[in-house]
Amino acid sequence: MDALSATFAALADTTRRAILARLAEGEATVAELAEPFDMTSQAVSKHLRVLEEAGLITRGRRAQWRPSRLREDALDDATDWLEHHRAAFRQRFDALDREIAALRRDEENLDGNH
Amino acid sequence: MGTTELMIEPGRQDVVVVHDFDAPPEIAFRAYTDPELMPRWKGSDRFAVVVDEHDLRVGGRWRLVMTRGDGTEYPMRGVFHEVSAPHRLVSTFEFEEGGPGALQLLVETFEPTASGCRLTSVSLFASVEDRDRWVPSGGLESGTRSSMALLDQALAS
Repeated sequence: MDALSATFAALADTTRRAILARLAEGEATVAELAEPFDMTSQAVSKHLRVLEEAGLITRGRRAQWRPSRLREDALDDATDWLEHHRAAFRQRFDALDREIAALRRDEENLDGNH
Repeated sequence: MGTTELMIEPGRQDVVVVHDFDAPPEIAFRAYTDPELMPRWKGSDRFAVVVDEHDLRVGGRWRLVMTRGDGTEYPMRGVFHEVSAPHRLVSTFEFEEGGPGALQLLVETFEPTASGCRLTSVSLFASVEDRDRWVPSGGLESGTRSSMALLDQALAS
């Protein structure tokens, strides 16, 4: 999976988005993350692994605690991608709008000649 | 100029595009499905569009090729399943072998509005996974307002 696909796949899960929202407030350990979600540490660890592989978070190396932290620029690639495609789409429909306007002008001219 | 909305909600298997035209459904539908006009609006700075086939009737096939500046070609094709001008168009879409993404079912409706009409284009994938794989793969045919909400939500403190 390419990096962007991994990011979007990681974001496609409600629990993982909630974990990211929590990490946006500051770093947290697995136990701290598990508590509000009523989940086992194993389940939270699985989600953290996905987020880490997607490059959205980093995890400390201290064996016991390994606090997770949101990567500051984590979502830049994803937002850039979305912004790019949103703009491309708008551009396309703007072009279609111009074609329609031209069509209608042509038709009015034709009608005028009758 | 009409407005364009692009929606990719998390956990769904569709991509939805809404565009408001300043023209009635009859004119918007005709322009939208006119193969001669397509190269003039479906392309962009980065892609040139050539329409190969566009048999606009039930069971008719369509095929078009997008070519990137460096010469890379992205052929795509499908079949028209329902053609109810000027209100509804149902077709399939897929990239030909080697291209990104999975088969999509496209349902496009044109509804009259006070100022013209509204096009709602729904691209339906076979699964959420298919859609999510396709979304970042370069979505030639779609743009996205992937929920900025999705990202905002993720970062909301």
